[in-house]
Amino acid sequence: MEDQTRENLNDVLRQFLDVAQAEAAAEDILAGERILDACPAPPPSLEAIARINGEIAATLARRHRIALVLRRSLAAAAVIAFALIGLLQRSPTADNNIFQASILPAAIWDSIDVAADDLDLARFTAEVRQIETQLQALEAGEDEAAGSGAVEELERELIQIETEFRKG
Amino acid sequence: MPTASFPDSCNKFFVTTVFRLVKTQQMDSSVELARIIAGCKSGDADCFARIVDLYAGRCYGYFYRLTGDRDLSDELLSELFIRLVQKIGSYKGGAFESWLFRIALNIFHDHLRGKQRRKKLVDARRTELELEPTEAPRSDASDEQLDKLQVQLNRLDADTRELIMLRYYSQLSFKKIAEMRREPIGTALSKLHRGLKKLRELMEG
Repeated sequence: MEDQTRENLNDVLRQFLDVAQAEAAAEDILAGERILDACPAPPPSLEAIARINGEIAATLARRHRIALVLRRSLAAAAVIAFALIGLLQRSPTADNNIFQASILPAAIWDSIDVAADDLDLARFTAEVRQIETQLQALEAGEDEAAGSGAVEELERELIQIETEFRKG
Repeated sequence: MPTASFPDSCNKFFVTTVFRLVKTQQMDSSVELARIIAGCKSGDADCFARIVDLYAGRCYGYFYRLTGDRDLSDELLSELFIRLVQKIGSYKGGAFESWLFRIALNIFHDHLRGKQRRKKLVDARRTELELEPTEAPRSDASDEQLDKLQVQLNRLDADTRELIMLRYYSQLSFKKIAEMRREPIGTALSKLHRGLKKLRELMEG
Protein backbone atom coordinates (compact mmCIF):
# COMPACT_ATOMS: atom_id res chain seq x y z
CA MET A 1 0.00 0.00 0.00
CA GLU A 2 1.24 3.48 -0.86
CA ASP A 3 2.88 5.18 2.08
CA GLN A 4 1.90 8.86 2.21
CA THR A 5 1.56 9.99 5.79
CA ARG A 6 3.69 7.59 7.75
CA GLU A 7 6.79 8.60 9.56
CA ASN A 8 10.16 7.00 9.00
CA LEU A 9 9.72 3.60 10.64
CA ASN A 10 13.39 3.27 11.61
CA ASP A 11 13.35 6.63 13.39
CA VAL A 12 10.35 5.64 15.48
CA LEU A 13 11.76 2.22 16.32
CA ARG A 14 15.09 3.72 17.37
CA GLN A 15 13.30 5.63 20.11
CA PHE A 16 12.70 2.29 21.81
CA LEU A 17 15.31 -0.12 20.44
CA ASP A 18 19.01 -0.06 19.62
CA VAL A 19 20.10 0.28 16.00
CA ALA A 20 20.36 -3.45 15.22
CA GLN A 21 17.06 -4.31 16.92
CA ALA A 22 15.33 -1.39 15.22
CA GLU A 23 16.51 -2.55 11.79
CA ALA A 24 15.36 -6.11 12.47
CA ALA A 25 11.97 -4.92 13.73
CA ALA A 26 11.54 -2.62 10.73
CA GLU A 27 12.31 -5.53 8.42
CA ASP A 28 9.73 -7.73 10.21
CA ILE A 29 7.09 -5.02 9.93
CA LEU A 30 7.79 -4.32 6.27
CA ALA A 31 7.80 -8.06 5.46
CA GLY A 32 4.43 -8.43 7.19
CA GLU A 33 3.04 -5.49 5.26
CA ARG A 34 4.33 -6.94 1.99
CA ILE A 35 2.20 -10.01 2.73
CA LEU A 36 -0.82 -7.74 3.21
CA ASP A 37 0.05 -6.00 -0.08
CA ALA A 38 0.20 -9.37 -1.84
CA CYS A 39 -3.27 -10.37 -0.61
CA PRO A 40 -5.49 -7.35 -1.14
CA ALA A 41 -8.98 -7.36 0.34
CA PRO A 42 -11.80 -7.47 -2.20
CA PRO A 43 -13.15 -4.04 -3.16
CA PRO A 44 -16.72 -3.05 -2.25
CA SER A 45 -19.22 -3.96 -4.95
CA LEU A 46 -20.52 -1.25 -7.27
CA GLU A 47 -24.03 -1.98 -5.97
CA ALA A 48 -22.88 -1.33 -2.42
CA ILE A 49 -21.31 1.98 -3.45
CA ALA A 50 -24.44 3.00 -5.33
CA ARG A 51 -26.60 2.11 -2.32
CA ILE A 52 -24.36 4.13 0.00
CA ASN A 53 -24.53 7.16 -2.29
CA GLY A 54 -28.32 6.78 -2.40
CA GLU A 55 -28.50 6.62 1.41
CA ILE A 56 -26.30 9.70 1.68
CA ALA A 57 -28.53 11.59 -0.75
CA ALA A 58 -31.64 10.53 1.21
CA THR A 59 -30.04 11.59 4.52
CA LEU A 60 -29.07 14.96 3.07
CA ALA A 61 -32.57 15.47 1.66
CA ARG A 62 -34.12 14.63 5.05
CA ARG A 63 -31.79 17.06 6.81
CA HIS A 64 -32.61 19.72 4.24
CA ARG A 65 -36.35 19.21 4.82
CA ILE A 66 -35.94 19.40 8.60
CA ALA A 67 -33.89 22.59 8.28
CA LEU A 68 -36.56 24.07 6.00
CA VAL A 69 -39.37 23.22 8.42
CA LEU A 70 -37.38 24.69 11.31
CA ARG A 71 -36.71 27.90 9.39
CA ARG A 72 -40.38 28.24 8.47
CA SER A 73 -41.48 27.52 12.05
CA LEU A 74 -39.07 30.13 13.37
CA ALA A 75 -40.31 32.67 10.83
CA ALA A 76 -43.95 31.94 11.78
CA ALA A 77 -43.12 32.21 15.50
CA ALA A 78 -41.41 35.54 14.89
CA VAL A 79 -44.46 36.87 12.99
CA ILE A 80 -46.81 35.76 15.80
CA ALA A 81 -44.55 37.33 18.42
CA PHE A 82 -44.45 40.65 16.54
CA ALA A 83 -48.23 40.56 16.08
CA LEU A 84 -48.76 39.99 19.82
CA ILE A 85 -46.39 42.80 20.73
CA GLY A 86 -48.24 45.09 18.31
CA LEU A 87 -51.64 44.19 19.81
CA LEU A 88 -50.42 44.79 23.35
CA GLN A 89 -49.02 48.18 22.41
CA ARG A 90 -52.29 49.23 20.77
CA SER A 91 -54.41 48.49 23.93
CA PRO A 92 -51.96 48.99 26.78
CA THR A 93 -54.49 49.29 29.71
CA ALA A 94 -56.98 46.57 28.93
CA ASP A 95 -55.31 43.76 30.85
CA ASN A 96 -54.11 45.98 33.71
CA ASN A 97 -57.65 47.27 34.39
CA ILE A 98 -59.07 43.78 34.67
CA PHE A 99 -56.37 42.71 37.09
CA GLN A 100 -56.54 45.76 39.32
CA ALA A 101 -60.33 45.89 39.42
CA SER A 102 -60.33 42.61 41.24
CA ILE A 103 -58.34 44.21 44.10
CA LEU A 104 -59.80 47.73 44.40
CA PRO A 105 -63.31 49.02 43.77
CA ALA A 106 -63.43 50.67 40.37
CA ALA A 107 -64.96 53.83 41.85
CA ILE A 108 -62.01 54.38 44.17
CA TRP A 109 -59.52 53.53 41.47
CA ASP A 110 -61.07 55.91 38.96
CA SER A 111 -61.63 58.76 41.44
CA ILE A 112 -59.01 61.47 41.91
CA ASP A 113 -60.37 62.54 45.32
CA VAL A 114 -59.83 59.47 47.50
CA ALA A 115 -60.89 61.09 50.80
CA ALA A 116 -64.26 62.12 49.45
CA ASP A 117 -65.04 58.63 48.19
CA ASP A 118 -64.39 56.59 51.29
CA LEU A 119 -64.43 57.81 54.86
CA ASP A 120 -62.40 54.89 56.25
CA LEU A 121 -59.84 55.31 53.57
CA ALA A 122 -59.67 59.03 54.33
CA ARG A 123 -59.11 58.34 58.07
CA PHE A 124 -56.49 55.76 57.23
CA THR A 125 -54.72 58.21 54.92
CA ALA A 126 -54.75 60.91 57.61
CA GLU A 127 -53.31 58.56 60.23
CA VAL A 128 -50.59 57.36 57.87
CA ARG A 129 -49.66 60.96 57.22
CA GLN A 130 -49.58 61.66 60.95
CA ILE A 131 -47.33 58.67 61.58
CA GLU A 132 -45.15 59.73 58.69
CA THR A 133 -44.74 63.15 60.31
CA GLN A 134 -43.88 61.56 63.66
CA LEU A 135 -41.33 59.29 62.03
CA GLN A 136 -39.71 62.24 60.30
CA ALA A 137 -39.56 64.02 63.66
CA LEU A 138 -37.91 60.99 65.26
CA GLU A 139 -35.40 60.73 62.43
CA ALA A 140 -34.57 64.42 62.81
CA GLY A 141 -34.08 63.92 66.59
CA GLU A 142 -36.91 66.36 67.48
CA ASP A 143 -38.66 63.85 69.73
CA GLU A 144 -35.70 62.30 71.60
CA ALA A 145 -37.46 62.54 74.94
CA ALA A 146 -39.90 59.92 73.83
CA GLY A 147 -36.99 57.49 73.25
CA SER A 148 -37.53 53.98 71.96
CA GLY A 149 -40.98 53.85 73.56
CA ALA A 150 -42.22 56.31 70.94
CA VAL A 151 -41.11 54.07 68.11
CA GLU A 152 -42.79 51.07 69.68
CA GLU A 153 -45.97 53.09 70.14
CA LEU A 154 -45.87 54.10 66.52
CA GLU A 155 -45.42 50.49 65.44
CA ARG A 156 -48.40 49.43 67.57
CA GLU A 157 -50.49 52.18 66.02
CA LEU A 158 -49.50 51.10 62.55
CA ILE A 159 -50.46 47.49 63.27
CA GLN A 160 -53.77 48.55 64.76
CA ILE A 161 -54.61 50.77 61.79
CA GLU A 162 -53.71 48.06 59.37
CA THR A 163 -55.88 45.53 61.25
CA GLU A 164 -58.84 47.88 61.34
CA PHE A 165 -58.47 48.67 57.68
CA ARG A 166 -58.38 44.97 56.73
CA LYS A 167 -61.47 44.34 58.83
CA GLY A 168 -63.16 47.23 56.97
CA MET B 1 34.97 -2.84 -12.89
CA PRO B 2 34.08 0.77 -13.64
CA THR B 3 30.59 1.85 -12.69
CA ALA B 4 28.56 4.59 -14.33
CA SER B 5 27.93 7.39 -11.89
CA PHE B 6 26.37 10.83 -12.10
CA PRO B 7 28.08 13.83 -10.64
CA ASP B 8 26.88 14.82 -7.16
CA SER B 9 25.21 17.98 -8.49
CA CYS B 10 23.07 15.86 -10.88
CA ASN B 11 22.03 13.53 -8.06
CA LYS B 12 21.12 16.46 -5.84
CA PHE B 13 19.11 18.05 -8.66
CA PHE B 14 17.29 14.76 -9.31
CA VAL B 15 16.47 14.17 -5.62
CA THR B 16 15.33 17.77 -5.11
CA THR B 17 13.12 17.68 -8.22
CA VAL B 18 11.50 14.40 -7.21
CA PHE B 19 10.98 15.68 -3.67
CA ARG B 20 9.37 18.88 -4.99
CA LEU B 21 7.14 16.92 -7.35
CA VAL B 22 5.97 14.62 -4.56
CA LYS B 23 5.42 17.58 -2.24
CA THR B 24 3.46 19.48 -4.89
CA GLN B 25 1.32 16.43 -5.57
CA GLN B 26 0.62 16.00 -1.84
CA MET B 27 -0.26 19.69 -1.50
CA ASP B 28 -2.57 19.51 -4.52
CA SER B 29 -4.34 16.49 -3.10
CA SER B 30 -4.67 18.06 0.35
CA VAL B 31 -6.06 21.28 -1.17
CA GLU B 32 -8.49 19.20 -3.22
CA LEU B 33 -9.49 17.21 -0.14
CA ALA B 34 -10.06 20.43 1.84
CA ARG B 35 -12.28 21.69 -1.00
CA ILE B 36 -14.26 18.44 -1.01
CA ILE B 37 -14.70 18.52 2.78
CA ALA B 38 -15.90 22.13 2.61
CA GLY B 39 -18.46 20.99 0.02
CA CYS B 40 -19.55 18.16 2.32
CA LYS B 41 -20.03 20.62 5.17
CA SER B 42 -22.35 22.67 3.00
CA GLY B 43 -24.37 19.52 2.23
CA ASP B 44 -23.20 18.88 -1.34
CA ALA B 45 -24.06 15.26 -2.28
CA ASP B 46 -21.43 15.23 -5.06
CA CYS B 47 -18.68 16.02 -2.56
CA PHE B 48 -19.85 13.16 -0.34
CA ALA B 49 -19.77 10.91 -3.41
CA ARG B 50 -16.14 11.98 -3.96
CA ILE B 51 -15.29 11.07 -0.36
CA VAL B 52 -16.93 7.67 -0.93
CA ASP B 53 -14.83 7.20 -4.08
CA LEU B 54 -11.65 8.14 -2.25
CA TYR B 55 -12.08 6.10 0.92
CA ALA B 56 -14.60 3.32 0.33
CA GLY B 57 -11.92 0.85 -0.83
CA ARG B 58 -9.67 1.34 2.17
CA CYS B 59 -12.49 1.39 4.71
CA TYR B 60 -14.13 -1.65 3.15
CA GLY B 61 -10.79 -3.51 3.25
CA TYR B 62 -10.44 -2.55 6.92
CA PHE B 63 -13.90 -3.88 7.79
CA TYR B 64 -13.53 -6.96 5.60
CA ARG B 65 -10.20 -7.98 7.13
CA LEU B 66 -11.66 -7.56 10.63
CA THR B 67 -14.90 -9.44 10.00
CA GLY B 68 -14.16 -11.70 7.02
CA ASP B 69 -17.75 -11.13 5.91
CA ARG B 70 -18.61 -9.19 2.75
CA ASP B 71 -22.25 -8.46 3.59
CA LEU B 72 -21.39 -7.30 7.07
CA SER B 73 -18.56 -5.16 5.68
CA ASP B 74 -21.07 -3.58 3.28
CA GLU B 75 -23.32 -2.76 6.23
CA LEU B 76 -20.49 -1.33 8.31
CA LEU B 77 -19.25 0.73 5.36
CA SER B 78 -22.73 2.12 4.82
CA GLU B 79 -22.99 2.95 8.54
CA LEU B 80 -19.61 4.68 8.36
CA PHE B 81 -20.61 7.03 5.55
CA ILE B 82 -23.99 7.82 7.08
CA ARG B 83 -22.23 8.71 10.30
CA LEU B 84 -19.79 10.79 8.28
CA VAL B 85 -22.72 12.80 6.88
CA GLN B 86 -24.06 13.32 10.40
CA LYS B 87 -20.73 14.27 11.93
CA ILE B 88 -18.95 16.19 9.18
CA GLY B 89 -19.83 19.45 10.94
CA SER B 90 -17.69 18.38 13.91
CA TYR B 91 -14.58 17.84 11.76
CA LYS B 92 -12.31 20.75 12.68
CA GLY B 93 -9.36 20.09 10.39
CA GLY B 94 -6.27 17.95 10.95
CA ALA B 95 -5.70 14.55 9.39
CA PHE B 96 -8.98 13.53 7.76
CA GLU B 97 -7.91 9.86 7.68
CA SER B 98 -7.39 9.95 11.42
CA TRP B 99 -10.88 11.38 11.96
CA LEU B 100 -12.49 8.96 9.50
CA PHE B 101 -10.78 5.86 10.86
CA ARG B 102 -11.63 6.85 14.41
CA ILE B 103 -15.30 6.69 13.36
CA ALA B 104 -14.64 3.37 11.59
CA LEU B 105 -13.00 2.00 14.75
CA ASN B 106 -15.98 3.10 16.87
CA ILE B 107 -18.40 1.52 14.42
CA PHE B 108 -16.50 -1.75 14.56
CA HIS B 109 -16.48 -1.65 18.37
CA ASP B 110 -20.24 -0.91 18.39
CA HIS B 111 -20.70 -3.93 16.13
CA LEU B 112 -18.66 -6.11 18.51
CA ARG B 113 -20.67 -4.92 21.50
CA GLY B 114 -23.93 -5.63 19.66
CA LYS B 115 -22.65 -9.08 18.72
CA GLN B 116 -21.72 -9.74 22.34
CA ARG B 117 -25.21 -8.72 23.49
CA ARG B 118 -26.85 -10.96 20.88
CA LYS B 119 -24.62 -13.86 21.92
CA LYS B 120 -25.63 -13.39 25.57
CA LEU B 121 -29.29 -13.34 24.59
CA VAL B 122 -28.92 -16.50 22.51
CA ASP B 123 -26.99 -18.23 25.33
CA ALA B 124 -29.64 -17.25 27.87
CA ARG B 125 -32.40 -18.53 25.60
CA ARG B 126 -30.53 -21.76 25.03
CA THR B 127 -30.10 -22.30 28.79
CA GLU B 128 -33.79 -21.57 29.24
CA LEU B 129 -34.76 -24.23 26.75
CA GLU B 130 -32.08 -26.60 28.04
CA LEU B 131 -30.99 -27.31 24.52
CA GLU B 132 -27.55 -28.46 23.56
CA PRO B 133 -26.04 -26.83 20.54
CA THR B 134 -26.53 -29.18 17.61
CA GLU B 135 -23.71 -27.75 15.55
CA ALA B 136 -20.46 -25.91 16.06
CA PRO B 137 -20.87 -22.13 16.25
CA ARG B 138 -20.44 -20.55 12.86
CA SER B 139 -17.98 -17.74 12.50
CA ASP B 140 -18.91 -14.51 10.76
CA ALA B 141 -16.89 -15.65 7.82
CA SER B 142 -18.43 -19.08 7.44
CA ASP B 143 -20.26 -18.10 4.25
CA GLU B 144 -17.22 -16.58 2.70
CA GLN B 145 -14.66 -18.16 0.51
CA LEU B 146 -11.81 -17.16 2.75
CA ASP B 147 -8.42 -16.47 1.36
CA LYS B 148 -5.38 -17.79 3.15
CA LEU B 149 -4.56 -14.40 4.68
CA GLN B 150 -8.03 -14.11 6.19
CA VAL B 151 -7.68 -17.56 7.76
CA GLN B 152 -4.31 -16.69 9.29
CA LEU B 153 -5.50 -13.25 10.42
CA ASN B 154 -8.29 -14.96 12.35
CA ARG B 155 -5.64 -16.88 14.28
CA LEU B 156 -4.22 -13.65 15.70
CA ASP B 157 -5.82 -12.15 18.77
CA ALA B 158 -8.55 -9.62 18.04
CA ASP B 159 -6.68 -6.60 19.41
CA THR B 160 -3.53 -7.28 17.38
CA ARG B 161 -5.58 -7.94 14.24
CA GLU B 162 -7.39 -4.64 14.75
CA LEU B 163 -4.11 -2.77 15.24
CA ILE B 164 -2.51 -4.29 12.11
CA MET B 165 -5.53 -3.42 10.00
CA LEU B 166 -5.81 0.07 11.40
CA ARG B 167 -2.16 0.75 10.61
CA TYR B 168 -2.33 -0.82 7.15
CA TYR B 169 -5.56 0.73 5.90
CA SER B 170 -5.49 4.11 7.62
CA GLN B 171 -1.81 4.70 6.72
CA LEU B 172 -1.53 6.78 9.86
CA SER B 173 1.62 7.32 11.87
CA PHE B 174 2.25 5.28 15.01
CA LYS B 175 1.78 8.45 17.05
CA LYS B 176 -1.73 8.95 15.65
CA ILE B 177 -2.60 5.28 16.00
CA ALA B 178 -1.40 5.21 19.61
CA GLU B 179 -3.49 8.32 20.35
CA MET B 180 -6.52 6.76 18.71
CA ARG B 181 -6.16 3.56 20.72
CA ARG B 182 -5.29 5.45 23.90
CA GLU B 183 -2.11 3.48 24.50
CA PRO B 184 1.60 4.40 24.58
CA ILE B 185 3.33 4.50 21.21
CA GLY B 186 5.86 1.86 22.38
CA THR B 187 3.02 -0.54 23.21
CA ALA B 188 1.42 -0.08 19.80
CA LEU B 189 4.77 -0.56 18.06
CA SER B 190 5.61 -3.68 20.01
CA LYS B 191 2.15 -5.24 19.45
CA LEU B 192 2.29 -4.50 15.74
CA HIS B 193 5.80 -5.88 15.39
CA ARG B 194 4.92 -9.13 17.20
CA GLY B 195 1.64 -9.45 15.30
CA LEU B 196 3.14 -8.99 11.85
CA LYS B 197 6.02 -11.31 12.66
CA LYS B 198 3.57 -13.99 13.77
CA LEU B 199 1.40 -13.42 10.68
CA ARG B 200 4.45 -13.89 8.46
CA GLU B 201 5.33 -17.15 10.24
CA LEU B 202 1.76 -18.39 9.87
CA MET B 203 1.67 -17.51 6.19
CA GLU B 204 5.02 -19.18 5.51
CA GLY B 205 4.36 -22.16 7.72
